Amino acid sequence: MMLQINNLKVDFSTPRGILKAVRGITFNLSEGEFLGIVGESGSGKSVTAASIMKLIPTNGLIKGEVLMNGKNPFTMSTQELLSFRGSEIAMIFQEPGRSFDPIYNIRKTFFETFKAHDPAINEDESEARAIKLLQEVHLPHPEDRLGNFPHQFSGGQLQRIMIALALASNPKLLIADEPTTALDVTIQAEIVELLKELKRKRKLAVIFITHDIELVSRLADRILVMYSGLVMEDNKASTILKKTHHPYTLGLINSLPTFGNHYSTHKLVSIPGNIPDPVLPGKGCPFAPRCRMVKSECSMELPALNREDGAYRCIIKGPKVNTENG
Amino acid sequence: MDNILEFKNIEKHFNLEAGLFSSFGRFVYAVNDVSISIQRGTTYGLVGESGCGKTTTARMAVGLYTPNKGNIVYYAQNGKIFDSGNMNKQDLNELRGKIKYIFQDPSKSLNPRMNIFQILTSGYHHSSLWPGKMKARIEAEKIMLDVGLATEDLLRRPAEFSGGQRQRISIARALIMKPEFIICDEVVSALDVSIQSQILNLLLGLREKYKLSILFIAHDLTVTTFFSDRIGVMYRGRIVEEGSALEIAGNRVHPYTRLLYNSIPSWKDEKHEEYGMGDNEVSNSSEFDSGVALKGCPFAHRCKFKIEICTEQIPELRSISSGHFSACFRNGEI
Amino acid sequence: MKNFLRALRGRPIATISLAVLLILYLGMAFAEFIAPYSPGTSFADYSYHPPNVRFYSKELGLRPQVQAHAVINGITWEYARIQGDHTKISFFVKGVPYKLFGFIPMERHLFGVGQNSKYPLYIMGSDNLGRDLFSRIVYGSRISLSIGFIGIFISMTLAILFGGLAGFYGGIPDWLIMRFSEFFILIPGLYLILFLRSILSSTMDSGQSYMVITVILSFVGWPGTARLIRGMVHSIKREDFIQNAILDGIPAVSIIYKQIIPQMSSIIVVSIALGIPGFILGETALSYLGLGIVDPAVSWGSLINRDISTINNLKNYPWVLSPGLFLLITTLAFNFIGDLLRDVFDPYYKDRR
Ligand SMILES: Nc1ncnc2c1ncn2[C@@H]1O[C@H](COP(=O)(O)OP(=O)(O)OP(=O)(O)O)[C@@H](O)[C@H]1O
Ligand SMILES: Nc1ncnc2c1ncn2[C@@H]1O[C@H](COP(=O)(O)OP(=O)(O)OP(=O)(O)O)[C@@H](O)[C@H]1O
Ligand code: SF4
Ligand SMILES: [Mg+2]
Ligand SMILES: [Mg+2]
Repeated sequence: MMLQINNLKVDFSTPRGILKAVRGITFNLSEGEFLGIVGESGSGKSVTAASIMKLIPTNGLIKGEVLMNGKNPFTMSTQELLSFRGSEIAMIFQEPGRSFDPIYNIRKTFFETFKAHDPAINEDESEARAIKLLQEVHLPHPEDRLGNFPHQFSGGQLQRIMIALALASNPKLLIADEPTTALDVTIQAEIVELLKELKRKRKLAVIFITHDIELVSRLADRILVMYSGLVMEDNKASTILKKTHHPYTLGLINSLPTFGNHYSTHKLVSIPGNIPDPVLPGKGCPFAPRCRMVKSECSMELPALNREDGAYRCIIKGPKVNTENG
Repeated sequence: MDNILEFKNIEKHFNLEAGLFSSFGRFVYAVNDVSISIQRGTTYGLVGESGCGKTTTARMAVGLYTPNKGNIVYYAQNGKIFDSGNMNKQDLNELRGKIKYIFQDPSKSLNPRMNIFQILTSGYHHSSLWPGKMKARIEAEKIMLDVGLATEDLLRRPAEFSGGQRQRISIARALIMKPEFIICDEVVSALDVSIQSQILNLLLGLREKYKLSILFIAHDLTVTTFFSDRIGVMYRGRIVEEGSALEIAGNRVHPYTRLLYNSIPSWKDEKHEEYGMGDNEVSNSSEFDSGVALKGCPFAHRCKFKIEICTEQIPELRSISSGHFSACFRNGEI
Repeated sequence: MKNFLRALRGRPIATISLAVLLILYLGMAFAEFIAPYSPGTSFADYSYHPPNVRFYSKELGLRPQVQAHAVINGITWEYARIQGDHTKISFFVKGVPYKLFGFIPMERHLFGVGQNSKYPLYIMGSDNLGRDLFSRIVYGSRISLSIGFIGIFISMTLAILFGGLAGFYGGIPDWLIMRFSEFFILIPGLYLILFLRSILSSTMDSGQSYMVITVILSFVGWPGTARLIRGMVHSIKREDFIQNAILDGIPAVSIIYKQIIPQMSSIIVVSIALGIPGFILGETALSYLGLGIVDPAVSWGSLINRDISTINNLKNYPWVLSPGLFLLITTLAFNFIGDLLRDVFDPYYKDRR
């Protein structure tokens, strides 16, 4: 296993009390694997991803263990951590425009990035490597555009450059936190295509965070469904949709209208209710108040992770099927 | 046909320069010659990518912007006709009582310092329909139940609600003055998938109950196809294809529409092309620049089927089959 | 409010400032009771008398008492202590009768040496006419401390009125209002004050000059705040909920003053706290120049004016600076509280829920 995450917990201290953003997450990732993380807003996807790189604000407290090729970022010195980020794991974010320094042109941005890991590099070498990376992410005419500033690129182009920068020091894992949410559908499709290609050519492992289970099921090898700081279901992308084990995953799938369906002929099934308050998540299954299959035991204690046929956190055994036509 | 709202050859450009030099300034050509007719009791879906002018078009319908060219006509239930080219302030206020606009982001569209009752009634209070506080209270309670909230919630403040609940409040706020027409500008875009379907179902129910006509703006095609009767696909301030939702979903004609629909990831739809560029209709993405006046087909810079005439002349909407139009010189050939 | 108390806990300076202001304003309300003498009571034999309160002597032991002094030079007003001559300072003593708050007749004062003592109590020394400086400071706070509130009230009202209209309507109203306010900003404040003051009649009673000073200071103060408010109104107007209000047909004035301005209440509270010292100092400057409060009325500014007129005075009678000390403490306290409020209302502070 390349990446092992054992019982990761992240608490934030807030004026309202302790906010349990991540409540004990365990998963593994092997080399070249494409993992999708989906879940409701506030379910702890971004916090999980950021804590793998130990990028948590000061009011946060991380517990548990992360092992990346045997190295644990939580026990590293600041110096080691800096080289760990980038050379082992790189990250890209939702809004590419915000991750760039507006006063640096692209040439300079690349130079600074290379220099951070290889202080001896000169500008010519940096330029040659930058062009190669930009070609790899299919930015048209990279040699002409190195002198341009971030605002002269479109959102999709910036996201490509962002990916090229993330690849600068050959990471083994790329974490993409909603890299396409801020982009238009047509551009989104191109970025997703690019990530697939990189995964194939570079044997790059990818963690892809999104709201869109439909999108990620087409991309990922495996899918992790998160809810209220917990993994609700963890399974192969190809089976999770046909043999869904968790009622929340099923609800998520049903909530999406199928392309081509029309209100006059189809009903849209929705999950009633809202996510629990992360400060007071309650003791039982966090999905219990919204679950169609809820039993009285559900709200007594947190269901254990059931490890048959993938993993899922539900007291009702076996795959769940739609009870309503949706 | 019984139309409720008609946009007639609407154009709108924004001035980027303000003040003295404005007449020499640069313009953003947001909407270029758009004509849309919406039938009473139906839902019209407007789709297109960010910046193509959907919001601008919708805002002109309620007089938040004035069109530079063309006019917008609203046919009220009571027979009164409102024409944007010829309306005084009183008419505008009356019109704004009949058309209600629901904004995208529920966390921004509710005044954080008011309680829900005040939010629902602040506009109502100033209108000629105001029934007095007691009656308004009863109506507000009824609306709250209609949108799936509790009557006690009237005394709480927006910050105490989740995103989906706030969007319900936005909808309640729009409905309390009994409009005939509502504009939903990306009302589900900011919401989670599981909440999105709650709101869509709610809107479907209310639409039935209140006999509403709707202009539904979204960039999600699956949702728009599901929710609308007719769809207009917009690109760079122009409608490039228009037809009934199911017709367009099954038979997309314009190269941009094809690109847009092929970008939908859909594992449920077995017939659908493989995810991604599919049959590779588009060479290379470059986003459009709405700062230049349109010359030629708005999509020409990305279109793989482009021929010489495409960059010289603007294609008009032409009929493909009954009620289905596309603005492409190569309709039928490709 | 909860945020405010929480922020207060971690900030001793702000807590002290709050306490200091509380004491000063209580002193202002109960001036007659707290001051041992009325502001006009003059002991002509004791001009420029140094402070004479002691807390220990052989005769009376450890208690507050007055150490008697005698004049040894009637021209430079030098004094010498009279050994062994001490008078007890007692609390709640009978003194000059007065009406508390203007209607409760009383004759007790918080402390004093009693009515039959010929030798006065000077906590902070006396001025050129032998009047008790402390009493005059306490009475002077009525003008000095209230002028800040009244001034900021007037200038804030103007700022909200004009800033709100300009920001909401934009276009021509905006242009007119902003040029009008720039007119006030461009002229250096002090010249404007001097100009306005000098065209007004110079023989005014103290009530009139108080009014005139506040109005003048408010006129100089509003444009800066108005520009701030205009900018914020302009951006809040684009928020969706204000667009909603416009679409609902709510009248513009109601939108501006009932929906937009309340969104900025925190900024307004902070600028009030930070603006008050400006008015207090403005009054001081005017009075110091002899254009503000003049005898028989007292304000801190007029006290400074009278006494710090020559360097020699300062050298020989340093206690005449004490009104300035009060001034300094008050302005600092308002500034610290303004900073505290700014932190409390800082939007990021709230976001960190
Ligand atoms: N710095 C912080 N301080 C306090 N709470 C935080 C902080 N960062 C995140 N949280 C809280 O942790 C929880 C999980 O947040 P996270 O950003 O991981 O959600 P997410 O699943 O990425 O959601 P989204 O889809 O909206 O990005 C949320 O309740 C959030 O409010
Ligand atoms: N008030 C304005 N001043 C100047 N330009 C504007 C203004 N409003 C919109 N525009 C420009 O007009 C064009 C169309 O904008 P519009 O908001 O209508 O797009 P949209 O289709 O609603 O996009 P989105 O999906 O991002 O909401 C954009 O280029 C935008 O920058
Ligand atoms: S008119 Fe020409 S450029 Fe435009 S879509 Fe059709 S083929 Fe492409
Ligand atoms: Mg996130
Ligand atoms: Mg829009």
